[in-house]
Amino acid sequence: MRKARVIALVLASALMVAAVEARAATPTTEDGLPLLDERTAYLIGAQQFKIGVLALEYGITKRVSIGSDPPAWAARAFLPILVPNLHLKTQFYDSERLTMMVNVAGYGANLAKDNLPATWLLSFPLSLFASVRVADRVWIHGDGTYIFARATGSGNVDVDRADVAGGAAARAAQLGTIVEWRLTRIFSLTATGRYQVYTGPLTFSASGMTDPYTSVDLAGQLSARVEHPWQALAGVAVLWKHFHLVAGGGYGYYFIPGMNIAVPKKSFIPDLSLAVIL
Amino acid sequence: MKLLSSTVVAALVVAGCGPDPVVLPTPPMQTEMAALVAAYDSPTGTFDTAKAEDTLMRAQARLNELQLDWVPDLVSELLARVDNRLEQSGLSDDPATLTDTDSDRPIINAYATVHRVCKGWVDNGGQPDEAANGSIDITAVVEDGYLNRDAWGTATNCHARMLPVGKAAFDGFLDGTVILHLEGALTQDVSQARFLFYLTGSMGVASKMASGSFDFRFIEGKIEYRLQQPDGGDIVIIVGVTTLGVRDRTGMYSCDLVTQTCVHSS
Repeated sequence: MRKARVIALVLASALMVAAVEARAATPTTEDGLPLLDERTAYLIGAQQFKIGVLALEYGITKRVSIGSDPPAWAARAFLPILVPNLHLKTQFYDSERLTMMVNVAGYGANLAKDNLPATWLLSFPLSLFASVRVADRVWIHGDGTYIFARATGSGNVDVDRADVAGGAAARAAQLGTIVEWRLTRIFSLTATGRYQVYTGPLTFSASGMTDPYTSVDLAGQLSARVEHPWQALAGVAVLWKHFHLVAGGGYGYYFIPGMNIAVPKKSFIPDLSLAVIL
Repeated sequence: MKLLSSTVVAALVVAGCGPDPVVLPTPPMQTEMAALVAAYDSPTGTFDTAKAEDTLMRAQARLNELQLDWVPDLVSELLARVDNRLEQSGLSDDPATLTDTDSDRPIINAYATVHRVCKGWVDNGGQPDEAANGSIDITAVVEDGYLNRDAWGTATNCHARMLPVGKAAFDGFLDGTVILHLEGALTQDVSQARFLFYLTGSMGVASKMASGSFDFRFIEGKIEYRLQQPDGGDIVIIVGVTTLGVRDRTGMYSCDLVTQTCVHSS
């Protein structure tokens, strides 16, 4: 029985590898270097499917992909809220040296306690990415992100839910950059920085009757305790044909991938992303 | 490019640029309230036990003016509504504690406003009639996670019918500016409420009205009020269900209502 399971597993793996090999390859430069597609302007390519720690992605065309961020879903394991989300990436400029892409994402979370009418936090990070190949083996990837956030619905807000891992899910503007130095065809050293240049509050309000004689209105706002969080990371990226690995570490404030909400505690930051591209 | 512009415009339309920040209202008469709290905590007058009988007579007269049989219940009910609202949002209902002691948490600023239509002196089948019976509005503020000790508002021609536990119904009247200094956590239990009440305006019952400034402190069922001394300064009279006490600049006194005598207790 055990032998049969092993054979089945090997066959399944072989079939998966065969299927992967049959697909179109991920995008490369004209001289054949694979492109880093996380937190850069590059996409995974048409009809490619990426399953990763930080992103689920499907390339609709060469220049358009859609996906969802697993960290926001996984956050349900340690936060009292579920954060369904979706993003759309559109590459609108691509030349030999410069590529530009816009990423529009949407996140939703019910901030009210279970026994009260819902209040939905809607967060829309809008990011503009630019990747510049400044030398044969060196890229600079930059992004500017603005996070629109608004609470809608009944206005009942449980602050235990709204703080989202310690950082108020508020309006914010951020700048990020990655310097990538390709040492071999697939292996790069990376240096990453991120800085939140603007932080705005998340406002909420609620009205209700507690009895026929009494109405109670509530208005409030949550503001992040750290106004300008930042992070500096160093790491490596290994871009095999169907497996991408980014690993490293650094110091500063951890930005939840995708949502880009900064956890307001300065500490060592691990950086790990592993993805399979099918 | 067309797809790009469409998605950007859609995001902007859906999200907007966000509402303006919430500006917290400021409690009125903060200096005066701080002085009033000090007057209760550290009275400046001296109580002469040799004149206890006279003092207790004046204390009884002042008690009758203050209409304290029904006002504490009315205020406690209002504060219970505020407590309920804050609790639903996970906000602090205790001015002594932070909403959450974790300094990593966001800064929380909020305010709750209770609008209560007074019940009126005539039973009209439970239908609120604000035009005839008036109302009370009270605002409480949570600033950086702390519940502000001062809640305040306005009583507008409020005709209130109160049924304190174990007492007959009272037809009370309030009109003017009300400030409540919270001496402890908000509670749903009227008997556990802790606040200092201040009113400038009119207060009374159907048969007796008075205008001016009124204040008293309600601490878990005990009522404290100030009594001016003939030789200057105030002392504080403390009325419990079965006890009577006096606080002056030297300490506390326990009084016997039957013998009209008081002894220094601490």
